Amino acid sequence: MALSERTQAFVNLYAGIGVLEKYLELDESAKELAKQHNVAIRFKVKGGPDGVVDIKNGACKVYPYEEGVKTNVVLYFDSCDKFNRLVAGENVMPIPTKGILKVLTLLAKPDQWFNVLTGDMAALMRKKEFDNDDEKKRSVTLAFYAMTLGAVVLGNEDPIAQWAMRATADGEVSLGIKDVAYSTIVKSGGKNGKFTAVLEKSQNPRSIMEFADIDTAGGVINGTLDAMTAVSTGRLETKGHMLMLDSFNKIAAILPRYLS
Amino acid sequence: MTYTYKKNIEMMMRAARVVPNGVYGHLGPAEGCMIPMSAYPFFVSKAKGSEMWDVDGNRFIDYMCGYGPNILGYGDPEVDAAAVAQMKKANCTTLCADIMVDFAELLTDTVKKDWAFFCKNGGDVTSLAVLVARFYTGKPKIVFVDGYYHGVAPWTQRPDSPGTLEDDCKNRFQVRWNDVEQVRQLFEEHGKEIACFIATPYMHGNFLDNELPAEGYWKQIRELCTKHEIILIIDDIRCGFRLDTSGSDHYFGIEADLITFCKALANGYPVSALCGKEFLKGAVASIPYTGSYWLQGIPFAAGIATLNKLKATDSVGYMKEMGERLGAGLTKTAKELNVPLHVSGAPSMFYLRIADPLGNFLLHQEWIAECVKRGAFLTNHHNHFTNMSLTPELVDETITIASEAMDIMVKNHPEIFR
Repeated sequence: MALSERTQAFVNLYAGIGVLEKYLELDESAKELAKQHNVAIRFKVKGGPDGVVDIKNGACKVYPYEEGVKTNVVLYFDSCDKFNRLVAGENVMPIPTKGILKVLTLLAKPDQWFNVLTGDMAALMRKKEFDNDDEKKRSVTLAFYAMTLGAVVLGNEDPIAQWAMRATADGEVSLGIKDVAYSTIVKSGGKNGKFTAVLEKSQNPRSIMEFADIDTAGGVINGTLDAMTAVSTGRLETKGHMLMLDSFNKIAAILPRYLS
Repeated sequence: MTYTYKKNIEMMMRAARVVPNGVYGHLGPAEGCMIPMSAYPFFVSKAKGSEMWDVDGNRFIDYMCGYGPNILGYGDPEVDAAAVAQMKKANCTTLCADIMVDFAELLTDTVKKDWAFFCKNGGDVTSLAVLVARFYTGKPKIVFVDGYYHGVAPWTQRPDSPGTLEDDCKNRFQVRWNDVEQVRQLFEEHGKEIACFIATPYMHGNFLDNELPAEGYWKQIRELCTKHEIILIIDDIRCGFRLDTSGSDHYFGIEADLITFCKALANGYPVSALCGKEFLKGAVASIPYTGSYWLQGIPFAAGIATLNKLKATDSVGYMKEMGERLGAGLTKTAKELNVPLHVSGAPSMFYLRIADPLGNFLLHQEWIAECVKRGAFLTNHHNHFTNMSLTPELVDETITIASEAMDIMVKNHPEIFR
């Protein structure tokens, strides 16, 4: 299946960069670095996402831009492809329409703080060999949150994944790594509805999917262990409204193409 | 004392190394919704009548019947004898075994159709039915009903199904079950594009209460199909021979143009059939469609023995009676324990659901798991099946097990069942 540049741009912003929220919670040095830079950056991508990466007091939120939201920097990309290339690490300069000087301190060189932050996070998530268990745990946990965010983005934006999103019953899908990390996908609005990601444990789940441990979660997320085998061998517990999980799994199957 | 599954788990670990998912498809833990896994066995070592024993030696009264094929009882002596006799004569041979003709004559006479085309699985014949409808009408589109299941071929899937292309799913409409007016409007607007309307005799989808057709539903659908020259396909793979030995179309007072059979057709021997009316015989004959084992003799012999045995008694009435007995017993217990148990669908294919405020099936899954751990093999997502070997004693034993299981589930949730 050919990848959609538009879908890729949404995934890159809301899942790829969106997981910064959890990275800053999990990584003390990253949090310290972020604390020095309070900034709200608007990424305005022609034909794609228009969202804000809001970094304040060492915490981060990524959300769609709305009229009235205050930003320090506005970066305009004249195509999804250009934005995607920037996220992939290519030397692409967007058109700054606000906060030109700040842009230079964000993106002009690889060693500037925003590039360092996102680069270190991506490197941690892509890592296969780990120095210790804590590093592995942080890596897999971030990948787990990225999976949640990515599934929500795909369900809302990708033409194929939208089939699964629309077929999902309204309610909460609870995802988790046992005793490590939890997130919730909320479906609302029926057949014409949408997904919303909440990076916290669901209190009223209609369906539940929980990895038994970090290794299982890591294996399924990075594709070295298929989810059905994990279920069959008791390493992935699923229960509740299974058709909701079936839809989620269909989206999750597409996700690695965009989150590699 | 509840069951443990040491050998089952060991076997699953072996299986997972060499078989995708360990056990794939609807018999596997994932699609089979074995929730929690620890409550369920995975492998059978022997089965007889309505009972099966897993590899740990645990005994179960089985209400899934192999998801339908077991209609006379596992290892029915007459069916097995017919199969063995045919095996000694001819099975998979260069020329078609002569017994195919006997089976085709018996089946067409039984289900009141003009011809039979044999394959192996349900999906083989639902796919063929759609090919026939498209070829005969020269029209591309298929009408499905919400909650449908007609196999796993790409034409039955949505584009989000792995391996399915958007193009595979383009020629389709989907309508609500029991909504004649929606069908009428669709046919009036798009009748010239629609090749067929395909549906099960009633809505027996998973994770929802099963729903019988409204009064006059099928009669009106039949009339609309005829008026708009749309082929009416009844997918009787699951219901076939449990509602009516003449086929479920006759049970609901109509005649389908095409009807598909599989599961119960030969009591577990692999054969499926597409049966149809005379005017479609030329169309089906024109379609290149075959398989290495489709004309095996053994399943035909088993099918003849099965149909003859089903027709020799009031089989449909008996299976209904056993389903009603079980449903009544479970409903009585549920009422006593103040559990909102819903029993729906045809009694011989009953569907169970404990209602809960969030609609998450967790209480229901807990109850079913407690049943399985005590030897009553039920599922939490799918309709069940009764069969001819089920006895009132086995049904009553099931009620005792299920009642104990429900009591445990209730006691586990004092916050709900005060």
